[in-house]
Formats: sequence, C-alpha cells, structure tokens
Amino acid sequence: MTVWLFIGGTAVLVALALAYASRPKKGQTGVVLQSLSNEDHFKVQLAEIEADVKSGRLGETEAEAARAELARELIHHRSIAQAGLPEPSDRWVGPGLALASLSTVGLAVIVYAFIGTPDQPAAPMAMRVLEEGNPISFAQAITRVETQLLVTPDDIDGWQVLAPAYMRAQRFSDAADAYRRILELKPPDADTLTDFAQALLFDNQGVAPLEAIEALEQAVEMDPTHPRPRFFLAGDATRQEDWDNAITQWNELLSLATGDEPWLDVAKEGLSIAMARGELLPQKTIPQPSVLEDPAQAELIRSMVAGLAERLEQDGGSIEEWTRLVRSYLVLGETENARQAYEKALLTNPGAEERVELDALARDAGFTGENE
Amino acid sequence: MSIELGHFALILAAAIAVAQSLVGFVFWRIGGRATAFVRQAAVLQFLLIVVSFLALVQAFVLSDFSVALAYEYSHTLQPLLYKITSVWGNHEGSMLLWLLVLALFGAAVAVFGRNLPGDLLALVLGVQGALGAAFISFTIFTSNPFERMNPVPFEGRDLNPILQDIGLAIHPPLLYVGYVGLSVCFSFAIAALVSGRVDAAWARWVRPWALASWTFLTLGIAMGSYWAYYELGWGGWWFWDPVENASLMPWLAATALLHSALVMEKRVALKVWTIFLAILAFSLSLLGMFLVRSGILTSVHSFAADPTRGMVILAMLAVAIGGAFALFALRARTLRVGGLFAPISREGALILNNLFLSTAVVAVLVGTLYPLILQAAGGPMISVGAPFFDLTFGALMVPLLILLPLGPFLAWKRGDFIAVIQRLAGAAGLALLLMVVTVLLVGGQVSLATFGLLLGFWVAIGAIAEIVDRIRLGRIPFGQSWRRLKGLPKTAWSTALAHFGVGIAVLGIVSVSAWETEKVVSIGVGESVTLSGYEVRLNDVQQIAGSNYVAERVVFDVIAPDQSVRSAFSEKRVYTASRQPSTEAGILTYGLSQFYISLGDRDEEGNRVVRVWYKPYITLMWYGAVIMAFAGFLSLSDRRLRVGAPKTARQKPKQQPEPAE
Repeated sequence: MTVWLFIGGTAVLVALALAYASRPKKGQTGVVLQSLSNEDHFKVQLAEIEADVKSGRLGETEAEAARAELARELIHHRSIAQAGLPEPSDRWVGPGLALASLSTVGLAVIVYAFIGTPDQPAAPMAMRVLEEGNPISFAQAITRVETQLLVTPDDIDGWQVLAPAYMRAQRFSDAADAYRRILELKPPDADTLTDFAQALLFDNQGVAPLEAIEALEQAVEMDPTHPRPRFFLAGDATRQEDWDNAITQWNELLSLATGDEPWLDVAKEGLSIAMARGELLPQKTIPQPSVLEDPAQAELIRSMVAGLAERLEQDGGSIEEWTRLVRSYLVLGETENARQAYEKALLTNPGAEERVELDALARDAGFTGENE
Repeated sequence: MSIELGHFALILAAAIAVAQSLVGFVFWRIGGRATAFVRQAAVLQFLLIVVSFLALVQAFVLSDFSVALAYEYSHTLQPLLYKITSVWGNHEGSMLLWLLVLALFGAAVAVFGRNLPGDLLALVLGVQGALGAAFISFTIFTSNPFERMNPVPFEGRDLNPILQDIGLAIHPPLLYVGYVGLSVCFSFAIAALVSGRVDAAWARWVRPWALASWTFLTLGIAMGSYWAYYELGWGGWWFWDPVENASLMPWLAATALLHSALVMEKRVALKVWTIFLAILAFSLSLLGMFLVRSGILTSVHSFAADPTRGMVILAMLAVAIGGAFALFALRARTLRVGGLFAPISREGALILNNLFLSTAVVAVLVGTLYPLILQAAGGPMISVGAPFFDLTFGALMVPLLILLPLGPFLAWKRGDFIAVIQRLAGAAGLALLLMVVTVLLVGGQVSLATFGLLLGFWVAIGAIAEIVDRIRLGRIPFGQSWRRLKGLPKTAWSTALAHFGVGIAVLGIVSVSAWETEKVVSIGVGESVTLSGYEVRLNDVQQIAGSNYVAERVVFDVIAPDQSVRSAFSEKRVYTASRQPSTEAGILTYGLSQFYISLGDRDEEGNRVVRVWYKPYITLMWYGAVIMAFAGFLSLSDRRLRVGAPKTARQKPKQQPEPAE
C-alpha cells in the first residue's frame, strides 16, 4: 500500500511540475521576436571581430571583410525573419499542455498497474539472512558458508561452523566431509576425530564403518581419558555382539566416570547387557541395541524431531515430512506425540490417496480408525 | 519498495518523453509556454531516470535477488565496485545507463539552451523526447531491468569474469556519453530541417555537443582498447571486431562533423553536409547498438541473443534513420547555400578531411556489414579480417595524415598552397631527421614502418609548427612572440593539441606494429626466458583466493637491461559462482614501452606455457588518445565565439596576411 502512496505522490508532483512550468506568463514572445533574438549572435560575432582587431590578431583589411560578410548575413537573416510565417494561433496551447500533463501521469500509472509488481517486497541479502528461526533460513545460512568456502577452502573456521550445521541439518555425509577437511587443515584432536566418526556413523544408519572405528581408536590413543570415543566404541562393539570387547570398553568408560555424567546409566546398562549376553552365548535372540541407547544420539534426534515438528506446525509440510515426524516419534517411543502428529497430518493432508504410507504406519501403531 | 518506485519512475519517464515529443512537434511554433513545458519535461525525465537507475544500483549493491537482473548478473561476494558495475554489465542494465545518459543530455539541452530561440529549442527537445519515448519503451517492454523473482533465490549467478574489471566501470559510461551525445546533434539537425533555419548560430549550438561526444568517444574507445589489451590476454589492442568498428564509425563521423561544423560556424558554408553528418553520426551509433544488442554477433560485447529485441531495434533504426534521411532529402534543397570559397582554402582542406573520413566510414561499414549480410542471405560464413581493414583504412588515413598539418595553415576562403608549403618546410625537415635518427637507433631497415614514423613525426611536429607560426617565433622579437603565445585563444591550442595527439598515437601504433617482439616458451619454477634484453624468471606459483574467485598466481621477476628487477603477476582465475575462468596478464611499464606476460596451460612436465611480448612505445597510442581528449575538453572550455575572417581577393599574397582564426 505504501508503494501506491509513493507512486501517487510522485505522479502528482510530476503533473504539478509540468503544469507549473507551462503556466501562462506575461511578456512571452512569439516566434518572430524569437527569431530576431538570434541577432544577438551577430552582435557577439561583431564584438569578437573588434576584440581580435584590438589584440592584433586580425589585420584591418581582414576585419573589414569579416564585418562586411557579417552584415550580409544579418540582412539575409532579417529578410527571412520578417517574411516569416504568420504568428500561429495559440488557442489550443493551454488545454493541450494541461491535457499532456494529466494524461502523462495517468498513462504511467495505468501501465505500471499492468506490468508492475507493487506487492512484492524488496529482499536484500541482509534481510534474507536475518530471517532466522525457520529451517529455510538455516539452510540459506549453510549455503552462504558453503559459497564462502568454495572461495576460501582453507578457512578452518568456516569448516568448523559448517560441520555441526550439517549435522543439525541431518546432512551426515556432508558433515563427515567437512570434518575430514578440518582434520586435513589442522592436527587431529580427540574431539574432532570423534565428531568425524559420529558423522560417519550417522551417515551409515548407526553402523560404524572402518574409517570411523579407526578415527575413534586414534582419538582414544590421543586422549585415553576422553569418554566420547570410548562410548561410541563400546556401543559399536555391543552392536556387533563382540561381547568381550564390549565388556572391556564399557568398563574402561565407566572407569572414567566421576558419578554425574549423563551417559552413566546407559553405560551401566550396556555393560550389564554385554555381560549377560556374553555369558549366555550362543543365544541368538538378542535385541539390536538401538541408536537410542546412545544418549548423545538420542538427544540429537530429539532436537531434530522437535525442530521438524515445530516447522510443520507452523508452515505445514508435505505428506512425506509428516510421515517422517510420526515415524520419528514412534522410534523415540513417544506414542502420544506420534498420535497428535498423525492427527495434525490428517488435518493438513485430507487426500487419503497420498497418505498410504502414513496410514499404514499409524495402523501398525494402533491409532487409526478413530480419526477416520 | 524502492525497486517498484524505480520501475514506476521509468514508466513515468517514458510517458513524459511521449508528451515532450508530442508537445514539441505540435506546438513548436508557439514557443513560450510550449517550450517551457518541454524543457520541464526534459528535466523531469532525467530526474525520474536517475531515481530509476539508483533503485537498480541499490538492488545490486544490497544483493536484492528479488530483482531478476541482480540475480542473473551479480553475487553477494562481489566487491562493492563490481556490484555497482554489474548494473551495466548486461543488456537491460546497460540500456538503463544508456537512457540515463540520453536523459542527461536532454536535460542539459533544456538547462543550457536558455539562449536558444524558443521554437528551435522546442523542436530539439521534441526530437530528444521522441528518441527517449522509443528507447525507454523498448527497455520497459522488451528488456525490463525491474523484472522480479518470486521466490527469491538465495545466491546470484555472478557476472562474466572478464567483465569484473575496472575497465568495465569506466569504458561503457564513457562510450555511452559519446554515442548518446550525438543524439543531440541529431536532434538539432532534425530541428533545423523542420524549421528550415540553419545558420552560423545553429552550428555554434551544435558544435559543443559534437565536441563533447567526440571527446568522450575518443576516451571510451581508447579505454576499451586498453581494456581488451590487458584483460583478454592476447596482447592485441585492436581486433577490427564488429563492435569495435561500431564504435569507430561514429567516431570517424563525429570527427568529420566537428570539422564541418567548424566551417559552418565560422564561414556559414557546408550547411547541408553538416546536417547530413549530424544525422549520419547518430545513425551509426544506433547501428552499433543494433549490432551489439540484436544477437547477430558473438563477441565479448554481445549481450542478448533475443531476436525480438533485434527486430524492435531494427524497426526503430529504420524509423529514425529512414525518417531523418527522408526529411533530409525533402528539405535539404530549401536550405540556403552558404559562403563561397576557393578549392585551396581552409574550407577546402576541411572538405578534404571530411571526404577521407567519410570514405573511411564507408570502408569500415562495408567490412563490418558485408559478412553479416552475406550470411543472412544464406551465403557462406566469411570473415573480413584485419588485412582488409588495414589496407583500406590505412590507404585512406595515410593521405589524410599527410595533408593534416597543411589545413590549419591555410587561410579561410582562399589560401596560398605554395606559401603554406614554405612555412611547413622546417617541420617536414625536422620530421625527416627524427625519423632517420630513430631508425638508426633501432637499427631497422627502410620499410613501411619508416614511412609510418615519418608520418607520425610530421603530424606531431606540424601541430607544434602551427603554434610556432602563429606566434611568429623567430620572425618578430621574442617578447612579442611570448605575448602572442599567451594571447592565443584556447581553440588554437586545442586544435594543435588534438593534431599533436593524432601524431603521437600514430607513432605508438607504428612502433608497436613494427618492432614488437614475442616468445612462447614452456618453463618451470626457477627457469627463465630472455626477450629483447629483458630476462623473465618464473619465480613462484601461488594459490590465492580473491573475494569471489580462486586463482593460480604466477610470480615473475623481470630483469630489465639496466639490471633493475621488478615483479609481474599473471593469474589464471576461476570465479566460484559461475565456474568461469579468466586470465590476468602481468604487465610492466618501462618508460613508454611495456612488457607483457600472459599465462598458458601446463604442459605434460608440469611446466607453464608462458607467452611474453615486448611492446616498444605502445603506450604512446593511448597517450595520444588522452591528449586528443584533453584538447576536446580544452576547446569545450572556450566559450568565445569566433569568426573566420576571409582573405580578401584584392590583397596580394606577398603581403603576408595575418593567419586567420
């Protein structure tokens, strides 16, 4: 709306300026007089000749000839001016100019109304970056850092910002590459090695590839008192049913504990499972320790799910995204949240043919029917 | 919001231009109120386009990619300067710049034209308005710089790397001032034809505009040539590229116009021809616009490959040029023939100048358009290359340059050729001597280059000789000569300076063409190559990161014959957003000569292919252009009106008349 105010203001100003300039004035000359005003030119020329004679640049004979020529020109000029055309009628000038002033701005406003986009706000870079709090601007921030790093690939600070951002955006493979780049740029330390391994682990659906194990072992070697790499190593040993190794790792980890670590319970439980399963070998019905047993991972997943939920509730989302949300809640064991998410998904996506997968998921979880 | 306001301002400017042209043509006889209206309209039109242009600049500077143009041609990581120059590094934005200059000239005519007769001013501004209406509408409807994007992309696509250069900041605006300034001459010519009034006063009003355009064209072309020289990495400074030719033709026509307007202002002769040239010069600048923007050419300069735009420009071209020449054919006969003069006279010399210049325009025009027309007619693709232009253009320029120093010595109306030759004999002798000395120093043989040198020296010294002759140095006591020197009008200085600049430029062109040396080698770090006494050692290869590119920078140490060592940097850049490469040549200036190092690829052994040139006295050609442009400004600053005093028939030649103005 303000756009139209400014446009209207500009239009009015311009129309007024045109009308003001073309207002009738006293003493305005017609065309014949104007032509005669051309004689000024001859006067100036004559003065120049005299000045040149005075300064010695022009001899008297040349000056004489120049004056004579000038006089002939002037006579000719006057004969044209006087035999000139009759004074044209200026009856139509006033209305004509008024019409021109008005129709000009009218035409412009109409054309603009057709081809302009008055409703679209400006979107300078600074404003786009400021739009924080929604996942899109987070992705944009990542793009910005990425672009910067294309130019300055050796900027370690940039990579250190980017890597955790990738983790948060669930781009685990990119995160692993970013951590790998950090490890190339500076001497490895236990923390970075563990972060790198964690990214690889997540990228591989919780199964640690060899590269990750190596990184974790290197981290343990560099800092034997660091709990995180040991935690992942113990978890992976447990997953692989390498019970002896798992027992050792869990014990090592527990030996580092001071008593108030958040992972303490999980470690104790892991140890007890490993000890129990190790004794009961070769029993086959072992439940896979889910990634949820890793408190760091669980926390990460919870925060991601919370972020997704928040975004979907605010902006809505595709059926795939809702499905992912419901499934995440189910995996986390938050059945009530899953049910609520499912109900919201139904509201925003009424078309049943698109929700095949979601409905199947919900049916399995046991909360279909009542909402249909 | 400023974007939309800018968009509206542009549309309003178009509407005003329409009104300006209608009022100008309908009510020109009334003068008075109607003239006041068109003057106000011209000023408003300019202000609105300024608003519009600033809005676009702001969008680029703030990386507002809701403007499609900013998204297409800029990037958030560009340095501020290139964010701004990116505005006109593309078709739409450069159109807006073109319009800005057009409106600026219109407004300047309106403001400075207070002394013009009201009816003539109304007509001139009417024609300017018609041009404005046509080209602003063209911009809005086929190339709108304010087109928006929704959703807004996060990052822009960046400008073509070779355009991200300080040269682009300067070269197009200079050229546009030159091209568009000619529109004023065009408008004056049309106004003269419509009103039927063409006199010395008319020429006096036209000449500053022609002079300003010519000056800026000179600078713009020189700048463009230098930009191509250092940025394209081939070490060449003129390629007879159709777009270069497109800027050369208006320059030649403007040069001719400048000289013929001189005759008209001072002697009321050559009226019809001057009007013809005024129309021709602007027509040629429009032709250049068509060549660049229609997409029929592929070159650094070609912006758009949109056939619609090409057709629209062609149509406008046909209307403007066709209409102007039709009017010319209708009305030229009614113009009074001006003063008479003998063949050998200042007027005659200027006609000869015009003859050569306009023939050169035709030669360049044919060479530029013939391949295009042939191709359009389904013929084979041919390329009219440098040999054609060098031969035809050279053949026309040589006699022009030979005769150039004679012109200013001839008297108006009737001149004495023998006396002039006598007065110039000293200059000719000196030129010959300098040529011989130079050739002996260089150790070259007698060749075409020797003749070229002679020509350059002749023109440059002839220009000095004119000043010497005017102050009668050696013929009257020195004190008197000194007083005469101080009393010389600026126009005398500017004539001599401009001609001197031509001579200097010729010297630069000849020496670099004749004595340039070149070597292509493949060397590794620590190895070196020697050329013309200069040793170039490849010192280091570095990886560097600019703000929006990464580059491999090769550091060379250049050891001059006097054992001084300087470093040159050649780069191969990759711009990150567009993934486009570009090269930066390493250039070292030694006095008036330059050493030029261009970087090639790696060979199999990991060595760098390096191409080095030694370019003796190459900078003279650009200095020459700068001197010419300076002369233009000098002449512009002289507001005095001068009369060409005729030489009377009764006088005997022996009486040594005063050199006429």
